[in-house]
Amino acid sequence: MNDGLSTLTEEPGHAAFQLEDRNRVELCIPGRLEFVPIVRVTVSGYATRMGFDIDEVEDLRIAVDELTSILIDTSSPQSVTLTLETDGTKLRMRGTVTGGDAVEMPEIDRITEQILGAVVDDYQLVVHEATLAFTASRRRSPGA
Amino acid sequence: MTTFEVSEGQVRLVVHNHGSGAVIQICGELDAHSAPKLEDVGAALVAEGAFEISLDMSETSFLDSSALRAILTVRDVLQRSEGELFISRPSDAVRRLFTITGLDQELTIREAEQATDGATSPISRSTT
Repeated sequence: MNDGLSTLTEEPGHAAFQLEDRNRVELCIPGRLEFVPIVRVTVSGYATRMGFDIDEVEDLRIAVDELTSILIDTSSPQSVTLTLETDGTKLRMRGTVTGGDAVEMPEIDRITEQILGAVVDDYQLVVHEATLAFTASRRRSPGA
Repeated sequence: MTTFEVSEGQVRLVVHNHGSGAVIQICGELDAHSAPKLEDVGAALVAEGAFEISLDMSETSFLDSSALRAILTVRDVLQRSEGELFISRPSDAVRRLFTITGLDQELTIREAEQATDGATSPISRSTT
């Protein structure tokens, strides 16, 4: 697994994160921490609907909380848009912001790194034109 | 003993203050929005003379890295006053994050709540 941090010269995630209309969910929240529970609930419901087991759902809930909180803490955006999709075996998440401060790549502390490394298969924070975004994915266990 | 509670976002903190010791029940979801409230409550208890604080996390349904940092902040404030922080009855969600981050080796975890005299006692469910 990489360190999850990078600076892109292209629009964040578009090459690696080809969105599919089928099963895709988008959620837009105000860019404030008090709205992050809505993101957790959405991911929980989506992952459950798509057949992820209870432990995987919990992991995804933690991951989206951590990554969305980083976006908000770092750039104080006007809004955060979360996009979820799955091909049936892997759930992918992308978070982007609208408005807010110009940013550089944030420092991620040890605790956050340990948590993210344990709860998703891969994640990436990207800076594009001074705007922060994230992608993350988690594969569904074969028995789920 | 005095009991009071504080709510912030998705969490409710129920505080049982014995003077030199206190139990804080963390009920619900402790995240980046609500974790500073735990730091505030912990600091206030220490300022009032508490040197032993127990966090009852049996009803903590969610926590994240911000919550863990808040717990460590409370511990550090206590240690500067030669006090001590205990974690009691962690839920599965709490236990999992402690294991992932190695904090299960850094924090003192009790499987039952204890009164300040060391006797095991059930936690009051009072919400007054």
